[in-house]
Amino acid sequence: MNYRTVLLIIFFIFCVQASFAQQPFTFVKTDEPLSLWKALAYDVVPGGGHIYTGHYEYAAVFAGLKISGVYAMYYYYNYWHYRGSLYRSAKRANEIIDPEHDLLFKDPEGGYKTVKEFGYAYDRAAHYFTLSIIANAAIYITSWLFTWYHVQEINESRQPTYIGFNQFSFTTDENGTLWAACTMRW
Amino acid sequence: MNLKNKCILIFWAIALATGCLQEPVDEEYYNDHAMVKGGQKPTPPVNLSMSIANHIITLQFETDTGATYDPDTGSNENLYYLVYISGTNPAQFGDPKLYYDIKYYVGYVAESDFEPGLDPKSVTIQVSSSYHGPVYLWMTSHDGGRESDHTEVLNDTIP
Repeated sequence: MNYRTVLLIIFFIFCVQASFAQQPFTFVKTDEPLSLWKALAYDVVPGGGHIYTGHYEYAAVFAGLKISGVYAMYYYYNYWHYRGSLYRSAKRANEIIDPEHDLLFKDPEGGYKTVKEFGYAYDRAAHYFTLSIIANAAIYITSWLFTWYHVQEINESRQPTYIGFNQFSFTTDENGTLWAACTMRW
Repeated sequence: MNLKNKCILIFWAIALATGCLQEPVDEEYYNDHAMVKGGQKPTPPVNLSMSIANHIITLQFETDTGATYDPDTGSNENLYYLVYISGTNPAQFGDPKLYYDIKYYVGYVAESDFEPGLDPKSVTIQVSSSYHGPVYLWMTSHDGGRESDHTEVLNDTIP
């Protein structure tokens, strides 16, 4: 190998070194893992977490359940106040009209009720409201559990992203021979 | 489904959802006889009397004097007459509601059980032969919804 050829090789290696040294490269191109906390935060919105994880059928089901659940909670809250107003009105009327007898008042839902029975209906309405809160909590927890499971499932199936580096080094031994070394690490 | 149909569907869904909600009623909602079963309360029987012989109480009362009627119908044809008996003086009841308590209720007869215009009406009540002591008796009318005030309280003793 003559002197010119050696110089050319050295020039070529320096060019490569200049181009790639310390330049990261992707070893295996994959997606970033999903953020569990972000998924759970999105899931506060009906179907949000499942849309984030790409499970649209779950999103539709849980969106329907959550919207229905919130409406049920609002409905029973309203119903509780409604039954309370009937109870208070009947109690007051019984005291005014005939305090010595338990009068039967017309219930808008059908039939007649005494003040005591209106009280029971008021209590039942409170129970319905409480149950609707519990049902909503159960729906949200179930949705979060599914979201958590899907995030775990997706993250397990995704390869981690390896970032590689190459490094060239040149040394000369006592005989004047030039050694070029290329190190790859990731 | 086009946008117009979607808007109509959403509108009906919201209307249906809000239409199912009941608004609370005001305090005066039930302060109306039309909302009470039986409307206005009837008046009680009059001219009660009783006699006791061999543990049998014979109770007589009048309902066709014109004083006993249901204000909603103007007659007594739909009335029932309830009998209450107590061994203790009801004047000592702490709560006036106890005059109408089922604990003292014995039974009833209907106006229709008697011939029209018959007065005084008579019923008999058999008392347990083991009982000896005072007897307090009173009556009310009932129109199927409301009960009248009680009559005066009769009292006697079973020897």
